[in-house]
Amino acid sequence: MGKKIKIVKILFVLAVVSLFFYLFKGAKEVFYFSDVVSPYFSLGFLIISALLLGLVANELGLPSLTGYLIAGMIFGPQIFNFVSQKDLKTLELINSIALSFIAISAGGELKLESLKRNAKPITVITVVQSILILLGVFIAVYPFVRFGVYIKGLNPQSALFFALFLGVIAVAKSPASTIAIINEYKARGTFTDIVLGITMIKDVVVLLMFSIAFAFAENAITGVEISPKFFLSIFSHILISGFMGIIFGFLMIVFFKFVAKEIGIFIVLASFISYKFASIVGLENMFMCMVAGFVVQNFSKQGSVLIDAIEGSHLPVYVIFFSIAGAGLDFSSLKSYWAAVLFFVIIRLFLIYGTTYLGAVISNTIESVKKYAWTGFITNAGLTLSMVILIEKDFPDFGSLLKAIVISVIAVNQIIGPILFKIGIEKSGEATISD
Amino acid sequence: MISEILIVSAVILSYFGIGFVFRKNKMSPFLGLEFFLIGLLFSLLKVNKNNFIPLLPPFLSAFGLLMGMQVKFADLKALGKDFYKNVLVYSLSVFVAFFIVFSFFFPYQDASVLGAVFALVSYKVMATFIPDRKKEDREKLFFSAFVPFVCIVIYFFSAFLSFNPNIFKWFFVLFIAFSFLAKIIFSVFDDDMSLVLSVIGIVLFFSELAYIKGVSPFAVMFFVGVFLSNWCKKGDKLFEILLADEKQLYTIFLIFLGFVSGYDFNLSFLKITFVVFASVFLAKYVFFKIKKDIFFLYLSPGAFGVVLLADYWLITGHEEGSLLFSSAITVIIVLQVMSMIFLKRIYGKKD
Repeated sequence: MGKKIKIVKILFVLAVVSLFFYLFKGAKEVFYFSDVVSPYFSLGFLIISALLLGLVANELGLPSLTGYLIAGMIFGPQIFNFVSQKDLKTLELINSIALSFIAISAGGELKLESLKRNAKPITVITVVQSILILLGVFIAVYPFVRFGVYIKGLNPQSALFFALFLGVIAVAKSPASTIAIINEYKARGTFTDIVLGITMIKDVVVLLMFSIAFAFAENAITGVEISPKFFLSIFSHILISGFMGIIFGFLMIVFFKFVAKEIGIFIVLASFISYKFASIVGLENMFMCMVAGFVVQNFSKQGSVLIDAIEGSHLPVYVIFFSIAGAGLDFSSLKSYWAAVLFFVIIRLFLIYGTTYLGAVISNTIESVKKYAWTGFITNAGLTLSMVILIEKDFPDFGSLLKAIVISVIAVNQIIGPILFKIGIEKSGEATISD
Repeated sequence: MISEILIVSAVILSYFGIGFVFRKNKMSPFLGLEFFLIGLLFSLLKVNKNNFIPLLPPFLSAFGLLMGMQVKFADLKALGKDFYKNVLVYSLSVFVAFFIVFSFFFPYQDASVLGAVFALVSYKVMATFIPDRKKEDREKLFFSAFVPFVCIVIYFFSAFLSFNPNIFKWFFVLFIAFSFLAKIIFSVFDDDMSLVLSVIGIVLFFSELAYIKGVSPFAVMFFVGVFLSNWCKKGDKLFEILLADEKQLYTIFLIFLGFVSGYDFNLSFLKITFVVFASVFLAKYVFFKIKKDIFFLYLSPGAFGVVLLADYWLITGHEEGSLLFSSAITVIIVLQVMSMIFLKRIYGKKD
């Protein structure tokens, strides 16, 4: 079947399924069991539409996850509202479980041996990126907000922290799409190891940077004192998350060793427990799960068991996670702040490219990392969103504006990031599956 | 929040642990129904169970689809007239006997559904003991594999006994729409993983829709399964996919069902349980005494009986601690344990 005919056929099926869904969802009728109208109804539709658009994306030479995200965006609250905000709220739990699963998978892909081998480029690129992107964004944004060009009405202090927070946010990235693309194209090699290593470490670095910036902002704006205790609490927070990740990893090893059945189901259930536990205790779930996956891979003989199980069940997780993530993307502010969003996206892209190249040159690593590793650091999602929510809550005078811009930036980066990284992986020659 | 962690941790422990304990001690009288009992223990936790109700329709739909996909018209032609006669004589006569007795105690619709459920014969119980080498053994296995389909049809008509034109209309609308949609959706996907996921999507989408329209998710998907099995090119592949996860689906379903349904132990419960148990035991005993066969082989409706009961419970209001539902499930569990213990004595240690 020709490519065009196949795409037309898939889109026809999507149109029929959507029409059917619309007829039922749209009709304002009383359901027989109105007490329990379930979000799984919308989730079922979302899975089918995401799968169909994932196929279309593949046919067009794009990664499947771009299709999943677009399905979420089209059928989410922003356009057709087939999956409403209320549904998304209920599906949040499933999404968080999927994210934990992805984090375990990311940790499981990292091998200590390759980390040791690539320690220099990973460290240098992470340091260079973190410092220079923060500085670069600050220098580029601060004059605009300070002197009221385009963004008006911020006092000098707010302008300063607005630019500073934007700098920290520019450093952040989403591990989920990176690991999804690596899995989809079954990428293996030095390039992949370095990108993965930086992805894992960057989460912690961004968390530290954000906590410090936040403390200074609180001190300057609301007068909260900065004490050594505060910094101690940040470090202990990360350390405890890591420690719990180690315990969680060893528990998984025990299961793999002594029970060793239904591993896919077990990982999903374990992801749920980890997510719930982290939210109750207030730990970093992503980091905890990454460490757990890392422990299983590197401190037991069960690493291959974990990876095999994950490879066997990653498609459902990715389809559900990215389609829900797509539905949750809010690009309504794009209309009002498109120039600011575009400016930030371009500046960030430029800085990511430049700093990754510089870091790679300094650490004298392989050519493909110099040229293409930057493509792996573009998408940002969960962590970025959590940061802007906190900023909005504590600094409402500039927080809501920052949130409006950053949410649109996330939407744009979620679309372009995976496509660029797919190209990067292919150009690096480490993709074992091609279109 | 902590109770949610406890529930899932307990599910993990029971899911992975109980099988291990049972295997180690060479005891399998429950054949999976122990997971229902585990769920019942969780139901003692003070958690809002209404949020878990929407998890049941997808499971029921999956079982309906799986059963429906086993009906291949081409294969049915190969079975002889005597076989059909045997199955029909058993199913209808036992069903009618049950219906007459139960209708003294329950409304006609409930009596009819109970009749259909207890006319079932568990293939799993029989397959645990009977070797399939001899011709008569194979015939028995075939018989127990075929009876459920007749019972599903009886159940289908029983569920519609109190005729509700609105639900009846929706049943046919949804059946036609689901069959058509499923066929065109599956036609697009080729690789196994996409097919698995599209099955998940379809089961979630269709089951919830059927459920909120008041239509039995099991029944509608059973007929969709029959349609796909006979008129969809990927029917065999889809059947393989569903069959591969059957055991896990049953396990998780039984845990959830026990958790959301709950029990209400009181005198009425004991009375109903006794009536149902005595009727089923006596009717099956008499029938197989006349047929000169070991009636313990045919005594238990198995986990599939629980599925039909759950479907009926769901579409008739899913009241927590429903007397009829609790009593019927208790009888199924008792029959299962009895038949397994006695068959083990008769046939030795095959399990």
